Amino acid sequence: MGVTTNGEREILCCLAASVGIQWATAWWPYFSARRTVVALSLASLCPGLDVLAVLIVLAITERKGSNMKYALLIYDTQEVWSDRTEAEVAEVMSRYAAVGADSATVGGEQLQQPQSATTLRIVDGRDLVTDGPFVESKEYLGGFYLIDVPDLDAAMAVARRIPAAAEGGAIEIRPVVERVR
Amino acid sequence: MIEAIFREEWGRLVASLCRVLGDFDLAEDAAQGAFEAAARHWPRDGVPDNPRAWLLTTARRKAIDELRRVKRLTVGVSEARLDSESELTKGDVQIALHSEQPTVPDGRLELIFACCHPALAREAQVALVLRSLVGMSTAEIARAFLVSEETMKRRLTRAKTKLRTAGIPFEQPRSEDLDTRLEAVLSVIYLLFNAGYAGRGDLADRAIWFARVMTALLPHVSKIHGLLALMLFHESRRDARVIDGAFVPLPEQDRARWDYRMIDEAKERLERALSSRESSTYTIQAQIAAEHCREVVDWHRIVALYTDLQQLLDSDIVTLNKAIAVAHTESPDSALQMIEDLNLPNYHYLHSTRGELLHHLGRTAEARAEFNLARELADSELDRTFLAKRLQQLPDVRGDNPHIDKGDVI
Repeated sequence: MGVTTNGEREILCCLAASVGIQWATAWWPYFSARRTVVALSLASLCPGLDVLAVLIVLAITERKGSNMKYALLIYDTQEVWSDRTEAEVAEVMSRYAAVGADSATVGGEQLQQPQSATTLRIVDGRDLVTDGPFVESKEYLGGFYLIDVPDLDAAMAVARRIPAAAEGGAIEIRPVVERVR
Repeated sequence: MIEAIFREEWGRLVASLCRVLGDFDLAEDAAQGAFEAAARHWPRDGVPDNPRAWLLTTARRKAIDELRRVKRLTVGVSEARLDSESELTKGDVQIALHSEQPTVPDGRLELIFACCHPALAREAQVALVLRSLVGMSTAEIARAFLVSEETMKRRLTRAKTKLRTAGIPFEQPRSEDLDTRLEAVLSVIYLLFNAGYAGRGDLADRAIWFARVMTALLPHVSKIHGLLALMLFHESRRDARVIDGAFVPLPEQDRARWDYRMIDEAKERLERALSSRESSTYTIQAQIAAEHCREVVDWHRIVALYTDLQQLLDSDIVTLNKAIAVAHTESPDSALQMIEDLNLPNYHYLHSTRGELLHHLGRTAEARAEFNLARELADSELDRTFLAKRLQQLPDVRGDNPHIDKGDVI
């Protein structure tokens, strides 16, 4: 439920020591540094308030507000690019740059042409190397962005701005698996 | 009484639970648990003053119990310790309940938009709506769509997994997305209605109920009223449409069997839809359906409405329906020319229409061939029985076209 960073875990440990390790381990998913601070200060203001209960309620309400990471996989077609004039290429690239500069974007790369790809499999312990991409098709994976947004609708809004979406290609929107670190 | 409350409250309950819990399965299980408890307690103790709050409180408790059970399984806390914890979590129950007790916000719209999100396949949208909003059981949905319960269970599980992992929001769409998102919801409603119209269970009823919920939630959106009007017009003729297992075309229907109360409501809804200038395919189709209810049908008006419809939706099926009206205003010959180039392979209505038109022109042999083809392609027993009858009557009968009852275009 909660995503805990290293820094948060330190605070969590201090807290666990003070309020008893046993139930802290049982309820750890409800803790986060920020939430704990909020809950503790609320509890100090109102002595009757139960810290744990506040934490759980905060954790439940935060689910809605928490962000998700998505990979936007950009599938492009060769013909579109070869038909473009130099000025058009510059214009398209500037639109890509704008998506890259968006506050939601946390990463991303443009990939070299699919002909540059090398595909490796290991069969019976031996390398089986082929020249070219894993899947040969008209559309190829041309690059990706990694974005951090509240939900799928927000991810789609970013994806819509990627030039390939409206120009012969497609954007595959894939949620990233969130891991507790 | 209890059944009526269940029907009305199920979607609301699932929606508010989804909001708090953020988990579809948990929300549904908790709602199910609350309804089962109500079915046990209410007949004995009487229906509580505020059944909605009763159900919500019970469902919340069940959800929290379940959360605790899962926690215990995953973290491995011993039973003994849980007793002391249950004291602690009572505070949570209280807070969670008090925070929303006075007025339970209606989260159904958020639920509906989530279930009908374009990131879900249409069949997934339909299954989710029927389960979470309408409250049909998996077995009932499976029966309505002629698949095994196992298949429907898998379909629902996959859809819920997608809802959760893809980050489909439980929120109303942003204003710039509202129109396309709404269109998806209306398509789901009309798909349900058509499945019901084709004779599957009470899906038509459910679709009308769903549309009523939508008009209550979004009263200012005129096309929802248009869709509701359209469905009510069709539904009002239900008892006249099928006699002795055979489909009865509109001009031959016994009008005494029509449900005039439903027609009146349809007319009111249509007026409401027409009060805004915004046009929609559903509203125009409702206007056409209204025209067919008149004592004397104004075919010129129907042709004009189909022309309007073509502006919004240029499809071969619209042209086919328009041709039937043109057969009345001009001649069967010009209608036949209109549908000559339509690309509707295997669409049996195209062939039955051709059959009728050819028959009107006295080209009986060709008409017979078309009716035969239509009968082979027909997908329902009602249509096959009707077409067989048409074939029998062919040499001397002069009838109208079989399928202008509905004039379905979507």
